[in-house]
Amino acid sequence: MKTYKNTLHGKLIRHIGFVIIYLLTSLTTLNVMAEGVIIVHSSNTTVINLVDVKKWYLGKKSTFTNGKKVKPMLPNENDNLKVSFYQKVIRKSNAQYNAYWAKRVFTGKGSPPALVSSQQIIQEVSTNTDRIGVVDASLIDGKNIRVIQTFKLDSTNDFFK
Amino acid sequence: MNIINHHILKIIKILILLFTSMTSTAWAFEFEVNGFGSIVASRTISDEPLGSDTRSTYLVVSTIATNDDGTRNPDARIDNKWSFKPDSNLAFQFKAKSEFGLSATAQVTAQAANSLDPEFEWLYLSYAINDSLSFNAGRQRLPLYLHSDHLDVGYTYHWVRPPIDIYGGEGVSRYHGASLLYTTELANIETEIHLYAGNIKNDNTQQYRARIKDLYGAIITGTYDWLTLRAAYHIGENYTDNANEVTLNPQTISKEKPADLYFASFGFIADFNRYFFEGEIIRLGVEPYFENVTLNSIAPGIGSLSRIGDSLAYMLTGGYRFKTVTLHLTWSERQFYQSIPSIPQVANLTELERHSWSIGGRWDFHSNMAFKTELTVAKDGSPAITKKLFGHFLENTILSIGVDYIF
Repeated sequence: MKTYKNTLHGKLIRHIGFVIIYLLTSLTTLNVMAEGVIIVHSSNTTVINLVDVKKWYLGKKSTFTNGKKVKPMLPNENDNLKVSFYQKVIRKSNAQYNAYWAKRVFTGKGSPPALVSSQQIIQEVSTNTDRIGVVDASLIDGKNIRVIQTFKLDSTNDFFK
Repeated sequence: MNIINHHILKIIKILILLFTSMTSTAWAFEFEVNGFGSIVASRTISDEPLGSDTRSTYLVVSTIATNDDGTRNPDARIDNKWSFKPDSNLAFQFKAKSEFGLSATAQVTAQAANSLDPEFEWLYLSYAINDSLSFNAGRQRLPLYLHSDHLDVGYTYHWVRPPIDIYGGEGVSRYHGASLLYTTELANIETEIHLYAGNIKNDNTQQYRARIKDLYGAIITGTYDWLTLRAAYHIGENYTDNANEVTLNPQTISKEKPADLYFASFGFIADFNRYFFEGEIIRLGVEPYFENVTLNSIAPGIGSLSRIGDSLAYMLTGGYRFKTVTLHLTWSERQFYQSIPSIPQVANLTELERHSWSIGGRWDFHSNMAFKTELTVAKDGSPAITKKLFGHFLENTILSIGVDYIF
């Protein structure tokens, strides 16, 4: 009996199989690559968990565990990154996050995190110990930067699950 | 169009003035400019004419219910023609922050119902004593109920307009005074304590002048995960300077003999992201009651709903969110009292009642803009005799379509 392996058909199927596996792996690697990171200065060794991060970005808390003031920042250009951050870390949709801050800003109960360029976030975080920022992982070059958490950049329209 | 241009110019003038005065004293100040606006078209799609053959309308902006000469301000009401005026507005907020915790904030709002005249809704100095305690002094919005202090910012809530059975009744929106805001975390409950003291002088119209002195309020809000509870109590003394004012009875209430007022409210928000529910109950009391109120100077149907009076109101709303769309349903009701001594049938305090159902949708089609539409069915459930005498409407169905945005 001919083995399935040696037929033209078999070869073709194997080739297609490789292509599919290749495509799948490259897609998943792409997915893994597209990440956002929450960063602070490398000399900031305070304990930071995601509940703290959420509170800082919602203006409910304003200091690190060592008592130092926190200056949270968000990029002004990468909407997908911001929306992913709101959904995965803040646990709010973009509209909920905006409405939350609008309510506070227009009733004098605080100012939202500063919106600046990703370059400026990296520059400020790497030179100041009181900054915390959110940027695309690919922009991090490692200098003086401590990554607290990474999260995937796959914001969904249907966040309310 | 010319009129609109004129008012835009006015706003710009104020902006420039503000900026130059702030930057000329430029120490280490940081500036923030933000704003919000609503463009809403609305009309009644069915209404039942009032007894006096006038069309029934739906009063939206109670602070400017009447003109200076005592006639109705049609721009504050929804009638049977499409109009942008009752609900549209535009506002800018300027904030100058110093490094020492001191800041100055001006919020200038132009309401279409008030011929786009820019007015300072907020104008105050703020000092952050520490991270959890701040002190404000100046003109501030009155935080009577859940949405009172951000009622102008349509983007912050799901409705086109929060139920007017609660939010359209008091005819006051801001006070002059001082406030203290304290936030802390007690056993994982985010707690906010807000105290204030001040005075109110709403001089927007001749006919309806709300003057309240010795106004004090305390608001406590607790948030635990998905649940927010809010309780508030406000007291004040309602008085009048002028016998022609009809805030309350000018014969029994004067500056020396004011009426005691209180506003009590309790509200909750339960937000599970996919679903949310919100409810509120308010009680407004006046002492002494309207034993001798004279309404003779008011044409029927003008002011009764916009005046401060003894009342009880509640609302319950719920919504469902999917993707960028929110669908919601709301019930609200208000019971209040009024009397006309010269008319025997209603010489004594008479209980009036009105209620409404609303169904609506919000679509967040852009990062900071929301499209909204809403259908409201409002009914006057008062006894027949009082409907005729006090009635602002008998039954109205209101359709509203608009866009709310922030910037």
